[in-house]
Amino acid sequence: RDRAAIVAKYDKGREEGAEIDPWEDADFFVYKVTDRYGFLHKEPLPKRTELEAKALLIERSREIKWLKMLKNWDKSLLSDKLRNRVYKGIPNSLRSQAWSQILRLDKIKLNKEGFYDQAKLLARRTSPDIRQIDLDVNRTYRNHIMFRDRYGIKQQALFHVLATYSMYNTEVGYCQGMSGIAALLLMYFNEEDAFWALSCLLSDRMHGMHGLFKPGFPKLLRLQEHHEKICKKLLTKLHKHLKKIEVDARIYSMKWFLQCFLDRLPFSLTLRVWDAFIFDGDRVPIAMAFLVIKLYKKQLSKMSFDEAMSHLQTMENHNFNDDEIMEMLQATMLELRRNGLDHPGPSQ
Amino acid sequence: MDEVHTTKVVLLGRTGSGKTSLIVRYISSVFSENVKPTIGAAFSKKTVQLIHGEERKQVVLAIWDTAGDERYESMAPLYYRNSSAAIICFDLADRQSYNKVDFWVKELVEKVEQNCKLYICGTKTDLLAEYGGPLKRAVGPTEVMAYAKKLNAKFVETSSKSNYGIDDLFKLVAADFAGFTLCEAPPIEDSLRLQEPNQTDVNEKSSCCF
Repeated sequence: RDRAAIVAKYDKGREEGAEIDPWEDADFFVYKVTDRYGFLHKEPLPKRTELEAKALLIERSREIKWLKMLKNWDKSLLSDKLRNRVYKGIPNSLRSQAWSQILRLDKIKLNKEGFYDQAKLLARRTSPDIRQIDLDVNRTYRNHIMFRDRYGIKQQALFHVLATYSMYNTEVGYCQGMSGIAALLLMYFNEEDAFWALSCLLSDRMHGMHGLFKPGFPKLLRLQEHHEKICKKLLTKLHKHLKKIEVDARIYSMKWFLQCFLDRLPFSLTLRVWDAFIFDGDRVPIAMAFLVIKLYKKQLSKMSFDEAMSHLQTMENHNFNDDEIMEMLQATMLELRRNGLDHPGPSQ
Repeated sequence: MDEVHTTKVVLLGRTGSGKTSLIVRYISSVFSENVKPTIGAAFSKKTVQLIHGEERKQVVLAIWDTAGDERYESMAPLYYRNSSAAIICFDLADRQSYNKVDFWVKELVEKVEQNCKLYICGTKTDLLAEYGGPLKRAVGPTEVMAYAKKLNAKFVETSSKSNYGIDDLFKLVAADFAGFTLCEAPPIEDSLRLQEPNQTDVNEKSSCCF
């Protein structure tokens, strides 16, 4: 009879009327203020809305499809479904696996056993950027549960990934802005994989963030110039207005391109844009930047410099959810391609 | 209607000298434990009301916070262009941070065409032993004052943590811009009084960064 009662309790789960002793449910404050991505909030989170609950259910059903795709990755790569599924959002629980497969980390790590650890030892002794890295680790995502504790495990990892990378790629070394990217990678990867993923994003042809961070920021300037060109051609009137009020792409789009919209969008949407960025590279921030301007076309056309600047930062006052934005992003990428503007082309 | 003037103010200084914290304290009246490294620059604004006898003026400060990382120095002209005031920050407990002040002074003197007033701001007084903190002052005030005098700059000390000197600094900037003279003595009835816009002005404050 005991057995039946126990089994019945599990069948009932946490539905209304379930008998759960208060002591059985840990009631730590940190549980209530931590969101699903690990960010700590000041107030306990509100109860999940119906919409959020529904989105989670959809995400669960996608996990099954993703597990299948990840298992047969080489075949998945050839399928048309993959890109669509990436833009629909990689289930958060499988994000590390998916990012790792898309970036082909296993291939990169081949024959590199022990390399990271050795490079790390060297970096601890000789990296010229230690001071700046230390300063920035101390102020990167301190509102995230992984990076909250000073000198905690993930802060140690962040410090070492950045220090090692500064020695691995001496032309870039360390530049402010990289700590946020490395921290994002560390939310999904262990230390060594985060290092190789960072290396991939900087040096492969599709992402090429190397040129974004190296002295003089040549690629940033190229992307900004290209963004101006897109706006001038496809939003001529608005572009004129922005020129008139001296709202310059060099000023407002810097963080968009350098960190692919990190901290510029709600985190759930940032991850979606990063899914796409990891999959499709440069074309994603280029299209996203244009989409933002398009989204606010009406408002921006009436704004002063101050208003426009504030507006482009908070990116509030639009009525779209993450899914809708991602659909618009895909459509924008097509629009740019049709106009031959999806990419500025290789550097000279 | 009061006269309204807008002026552009730029903050410069070595990485970690407390530029962003200073602005967050001024704009949002809090000391944030979660200030991220500034990438590129950040824009915010706040209105200061100046009252001098019958005369009233409003000065909107359009404030640019900049990145301290040396690699971003090449971008700085975008932000100090057309500024009427530059606040150059240094950490009072860090000699290297102070040494960087001269770099920015020279850059501004050389490259800025308009009249740009200089303010040298020693930050983090709360960390100094003389204020009960753990650290030693790395630069004596006489040294900084002599340097500032030579440049015709003003020297102030602030703490974003304890909110020391912050409002006064920006009021000073606004008053200098508007041609008001600040009264050293405690304000008396018809001398200069400076006051912050009250809560009804909240939507005039905004802050953002790029």
